[in-house]
Amino acid sequence: MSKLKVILASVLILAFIAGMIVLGIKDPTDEYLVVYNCEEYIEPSTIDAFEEYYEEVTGSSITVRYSTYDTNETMLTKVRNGDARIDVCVGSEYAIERMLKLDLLYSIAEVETLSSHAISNSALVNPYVDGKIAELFGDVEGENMRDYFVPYMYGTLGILYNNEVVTEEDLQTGWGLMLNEGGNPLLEGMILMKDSVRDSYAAAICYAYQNDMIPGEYDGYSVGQLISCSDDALLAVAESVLNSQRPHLKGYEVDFGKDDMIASRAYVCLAWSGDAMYAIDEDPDGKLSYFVPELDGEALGNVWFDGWVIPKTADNLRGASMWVDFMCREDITMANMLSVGYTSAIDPDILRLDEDCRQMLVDYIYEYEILDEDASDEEIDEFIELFFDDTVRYPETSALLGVMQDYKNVDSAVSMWERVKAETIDLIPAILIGLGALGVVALIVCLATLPKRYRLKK
Amino acid sequence: MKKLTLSRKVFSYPYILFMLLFVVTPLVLILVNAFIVDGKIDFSNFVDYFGNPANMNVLTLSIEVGVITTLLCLLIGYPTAYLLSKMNAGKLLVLIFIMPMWVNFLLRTLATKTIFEALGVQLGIGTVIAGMVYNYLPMMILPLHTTISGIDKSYIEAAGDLGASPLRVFTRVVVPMSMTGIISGITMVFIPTISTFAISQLLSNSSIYLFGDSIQLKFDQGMYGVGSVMSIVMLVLVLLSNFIINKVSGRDNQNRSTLL
Repeated sequence: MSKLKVILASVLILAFIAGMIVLGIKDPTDEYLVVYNCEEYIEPSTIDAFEEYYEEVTGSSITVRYSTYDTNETMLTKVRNGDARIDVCVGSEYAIERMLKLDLLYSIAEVETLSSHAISNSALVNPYVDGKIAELFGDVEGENMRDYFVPYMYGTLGILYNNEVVTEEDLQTGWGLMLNEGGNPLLEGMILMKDSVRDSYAAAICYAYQNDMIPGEYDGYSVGQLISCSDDALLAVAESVLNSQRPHLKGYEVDFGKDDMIASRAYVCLAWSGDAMYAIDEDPDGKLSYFVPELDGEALGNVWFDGWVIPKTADNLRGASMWVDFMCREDITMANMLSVGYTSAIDPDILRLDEDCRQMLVDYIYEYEILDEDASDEEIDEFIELFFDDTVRYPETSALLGVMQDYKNVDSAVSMWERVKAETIDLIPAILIGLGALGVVALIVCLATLPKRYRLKK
Repeated sequence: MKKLTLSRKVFSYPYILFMLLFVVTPLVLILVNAFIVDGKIDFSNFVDYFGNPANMNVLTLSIEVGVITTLLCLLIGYPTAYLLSKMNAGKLLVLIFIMPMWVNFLLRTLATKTIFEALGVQLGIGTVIAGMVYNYLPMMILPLHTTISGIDKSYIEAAGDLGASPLRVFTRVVVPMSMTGIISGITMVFIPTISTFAISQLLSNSSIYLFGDSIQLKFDQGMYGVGSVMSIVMLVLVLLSNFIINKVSGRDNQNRSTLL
């Protein structure tokens, strides 16, 4: 009898172990690539296109495991933990700088050697982007940051607004539009701010810069240095700006702002240029516009660069390097750009001359009914010229457009942000009133339901 | 050789393993993150957290919102449960109140947001509390309904026959006998409301910032130490409210666990 039990138990255990093995071990030929990207930051069909391309080139199949994050901080935390395999991921310049300082990244040269695949399309990157990066990140603790990432998209931080509601006087207030300084009654409670420490801080500092509120000791600092500085004096300035902005706000968002702007649930929204382009494209009424406020004729704000990096947790280096290379290819670049609205870091002069890109633009024109089906070649050429000359898409260089760099003191910036968001509301009177009123109601209801015949007089 | 017997103990192993992995390990990790800074035991995370007045404001606001939500749930839920227990179709009607719980709570909250926006209601503290009451009301009605319908009618009849006024019958007979339901309802509403973050974010456009939001931001920004301290504060709050509730309910709570 006990023998039977032993046999039964061993069979069960063996079955359990066998089950775990079957579930745990995958077919070794099933190669995969873990891609970690920001939300809504790629044309989904390019992922399938990559899988096909990979099979074509190498002869073996690959599956892309694609996942997304909402802010750079989330991504940084995940990469820094190092417990999850990420083969290739996107990050903003300051986040890449942090990862580089923490020694979390492979250099492009290392990847190319280890994978024996060259990321040759990296040479197609816009010289303006390369120049800015070389200027600001050429020496990150002795390393040139450009050796560790390949630029993907870039753009500005500015204001998306409803041009039917926002007046010319409102626009004159520049960054003051975010605080409704023009006093437009329609804008009260219809302004959306970014629910992100870095972007809101940058907007507040730009407002302070425009209105000469920056303390004297920071004279001579560039906009980029100011928005990257986490000194207490500057944080205090930003905090007072953000606090005075609060009563005018509808709320803070990172993802629903575009929809609210299109649906006219908000009239002003702090936005990244690509999101703004996307919203302007999707809006059927043409009521949305985007601008980066100017000071003395020069755009004052933040310009940012996002790029592909290969963290040291990467396992499939060949897949990763081919992915980055593929993402820089002219036609893929164009597809992503048209789909997400952001500006690719690939040189526009190369895209302008590429035949595939031209065809994609023509398809785009018809899809969005920008021109009639029987548009002449000249009209199409004119549109394409405008597409590449659009200053929202390709911002003009300005000395007042600053690039973010890594904060020295992240914690104090986060505390500042929490103080702004933690509004004190006195709810004790509400508690007392609610308690009293509803107590009476509840008592009446319960008493009314007691059977009549028990309501005896004493 | 020791014989392997299939006793009851053997069947508890998977459960013990599960508890170790998903209950004990996270708690240990929270303690490690909270107390150990750079490899040494250090209270700097506590100093950081408690030294910041903004954090205290957030905590106070969250507790206030929790209290209001619980009160509203109790005051709406009690009469509802009471009426339902009086009706013949009560059991069926309770289902209607529970039905929203079958829908994923994020979808429910997003739908609530859309309704508020369509009605032109300004999103803010009012809508957050309304959303919380809506989400947690079933948690209150369910235990209350179970206890109230379990009260023997003859007690109420006896009280009436002996000359108690309806008010007296209610306050001296019905309420004390449904105390166990009230207690478990309060526990099930108050504790989750302090720590929610999705409802407050969605229903106020992130302009109401509660304790749960604050914990989320800390972990998002990689500030594991302070985030863990906040989780401990949360745990202490839960234990404290359980302790107080148990004290208040006194001897009545022996059937509490059978309710759920």
